[in-house]
Amino acid sequence: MLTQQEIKDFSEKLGAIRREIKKEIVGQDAVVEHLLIAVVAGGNVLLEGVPGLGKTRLVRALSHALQLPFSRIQFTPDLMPADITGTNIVVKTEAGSAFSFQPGPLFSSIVLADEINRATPKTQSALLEAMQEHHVTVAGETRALPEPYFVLATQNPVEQEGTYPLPEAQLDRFMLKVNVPFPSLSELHQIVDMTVKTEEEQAQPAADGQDILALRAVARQVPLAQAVQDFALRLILATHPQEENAPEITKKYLRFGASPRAAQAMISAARVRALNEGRYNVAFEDIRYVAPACLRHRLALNFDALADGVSVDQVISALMEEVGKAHA
Amino acid sequence: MLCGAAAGLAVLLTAYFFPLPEKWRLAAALTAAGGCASGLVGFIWPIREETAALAADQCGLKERAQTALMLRNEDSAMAELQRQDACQALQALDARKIPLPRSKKLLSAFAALMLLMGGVSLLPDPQAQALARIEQFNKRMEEALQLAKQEEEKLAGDSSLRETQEMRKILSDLERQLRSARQERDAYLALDDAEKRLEKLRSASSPEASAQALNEAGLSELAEAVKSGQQEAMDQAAQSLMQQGEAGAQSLAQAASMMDGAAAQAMQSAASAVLNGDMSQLSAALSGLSMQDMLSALSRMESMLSQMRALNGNAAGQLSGQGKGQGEGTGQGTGAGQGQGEGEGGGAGRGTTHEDAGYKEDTGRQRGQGSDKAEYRENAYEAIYDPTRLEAAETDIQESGAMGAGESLQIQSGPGLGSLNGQVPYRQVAAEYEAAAAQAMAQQDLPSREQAWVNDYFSAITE
Repeated sequence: MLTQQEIKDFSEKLGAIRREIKKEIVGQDAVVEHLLIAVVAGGNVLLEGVPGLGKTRLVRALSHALQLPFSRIQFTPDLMPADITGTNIVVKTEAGSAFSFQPGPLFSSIVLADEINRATPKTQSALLEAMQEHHVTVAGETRALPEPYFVLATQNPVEQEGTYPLPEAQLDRFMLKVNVPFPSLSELHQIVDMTVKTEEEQAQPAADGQDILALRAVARQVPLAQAVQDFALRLILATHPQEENAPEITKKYLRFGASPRAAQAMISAARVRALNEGRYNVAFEDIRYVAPACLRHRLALNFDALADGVSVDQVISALMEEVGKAHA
Repeated sequence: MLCGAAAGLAVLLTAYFFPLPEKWRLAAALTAAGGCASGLVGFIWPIREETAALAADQCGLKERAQTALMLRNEDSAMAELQRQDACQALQALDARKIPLPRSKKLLSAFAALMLLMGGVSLLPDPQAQALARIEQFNKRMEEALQLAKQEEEKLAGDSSLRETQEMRKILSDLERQLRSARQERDAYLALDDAEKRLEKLRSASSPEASAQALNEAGLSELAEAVKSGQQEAMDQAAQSLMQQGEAGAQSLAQAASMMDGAAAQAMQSAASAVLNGDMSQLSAALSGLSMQDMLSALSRMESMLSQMRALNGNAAGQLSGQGKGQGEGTGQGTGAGQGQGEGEGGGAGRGTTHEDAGYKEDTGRQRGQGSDKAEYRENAYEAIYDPTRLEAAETDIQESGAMGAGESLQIQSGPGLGSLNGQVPYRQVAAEYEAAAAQAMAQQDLPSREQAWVNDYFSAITE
């Protein structure tokens, strides 16, 4: 049973984590915000950006702030599933030789899957069970992963040579896809200034795993008005071009739409965002805030969209406007 | 509001097909009434909590009110905090910023209806002529009522007499009927009715009626004097009554019992004067038998009715024309005309018409033919309204004019007092009248119902 104090402490705890992360990361407020939302909501995040924007550093800072076990996997084409899940090895004991399970890097609370699209689909698929079920199965034996558990993956949108685009099933297991933008001039100044210092300031622990689980429990209690939920679900339905009442832009530019998991992700993320804003209920603006990150990797553009130079974010904005008219 | 505007539009559209006086006022009133009614209903009707919460949230409460309403029965810590948060936000909200509930669809429909009303106003009004006629008719009725009121005021002085009471009743009935008249036919029927009753009153109150009663009571000398109206004869009759003494008084009382109203009162007064031997009182009483005041009042009322007919256009009780008209016969004529005739040959043309029906409008031209009877038929018609009048007294109107090309324009109507005992049986002229009526109906834009009424009438009298 939650107490009012626990609920009131939510913003404060999240703020403390944010502050620690900001010690290592300059700018990227929206990225940090989305990352924290996903962490509290219990979702995985796909970070997309060109190299050198601090994606790996961001995840590392998060692990420092949360005081959680962290492992980084550099995905390459020759990476095998067993390399990340772990495998049984033969060890010598007093009783003789025996198989012993050697856990892979997935057995951490925070897993950084760096350049995830460079691994083969076989290895990428090895992440599916871990991301969704929070356990892995090796040699017929299912092993639970520690809680809380997050997979934070990065990918480079520019270098597509020798990469394997993530399949839709894999993408759908990421709660959010966050685009990491290039820093502004002032942020660049700060970044340069930071690197010439003798000692870099490092994020200090602001919470632990139990705190994250407690925050998640609080966030799940945030109420949602029927109209807001209706808006979120209509938005999901509006992404399906085969729907009879789908907006024109959907029929024109989308190949397929978001899954029900997207609706769950959107509402979970909106709940955290509402609490983070100091509110005890989800508002339309929360849905609008998290919708692009929840939907952009779940919508598939068709050839017309590519030909017309329409981005998925533009489609999402148009859909929010269209669905929002019905709720005006 | 929408219903009011729709009703207003319906009124305007109806007025496009049927004459509807005050249609704009009515349409505006209905629209305004709809608006007021919707405002009243909106004021009285309780606002749903959900609606109020939605309106509050639209002022920037970020769905706090709706969520609090949803959580009103929950007692969790989160629900409690959410309600507190919503209450704080609501307290900080400026109620004036809450938008009035409105429906775009309803407002659009209302605007469309108003535009349609505007569009209808731009269309030519096919009922304008009919409306003008109605307005003219109403105006005439107002004037006629004014005349009736004036006459009623004149009668206010001597209310004890039966004749006065009867005249007042005639006037009040006429006013009532004119007020309820919706078309000219109603007004004519009302005037007709008043005239009939006046005629009855006149015949009952005439000196001839008093004379007859006196004759029957054995006072033949006095009866002749009353009939002649000569003062000298009256004086002689008065002296004769004085000489008869009590017997004369009894005869007067007997005659008085046969009469009523002013005549009876005068006879009773005369009887008591004879008994008292008061000559001056007797003379005064006998002078009352001439009924001058009553007849004067009746004439005034008849004149008023004529004016009312004149107001109604096609029933003017006047005769005018070229040639010279002169009333003859036993009827009472009111026509008088003066004109000049020019023609070849010599001699004076002389025409006689026997008018047996009271209501006619004659614009016929008469051309003298040099004979001693002027032709009256060319382009002439008489509209017969009431066959019961055919037995009334006769009116002869003679016209004289020069032979030849003299033209006369005759317009005659009013209560003709002629009869068919004389020269022209009505069956001989009924067909002509029917044709004239058909011609008149063709020239005037009469409703089909009225035309059927006229046709039925002629069918009935020509059977």
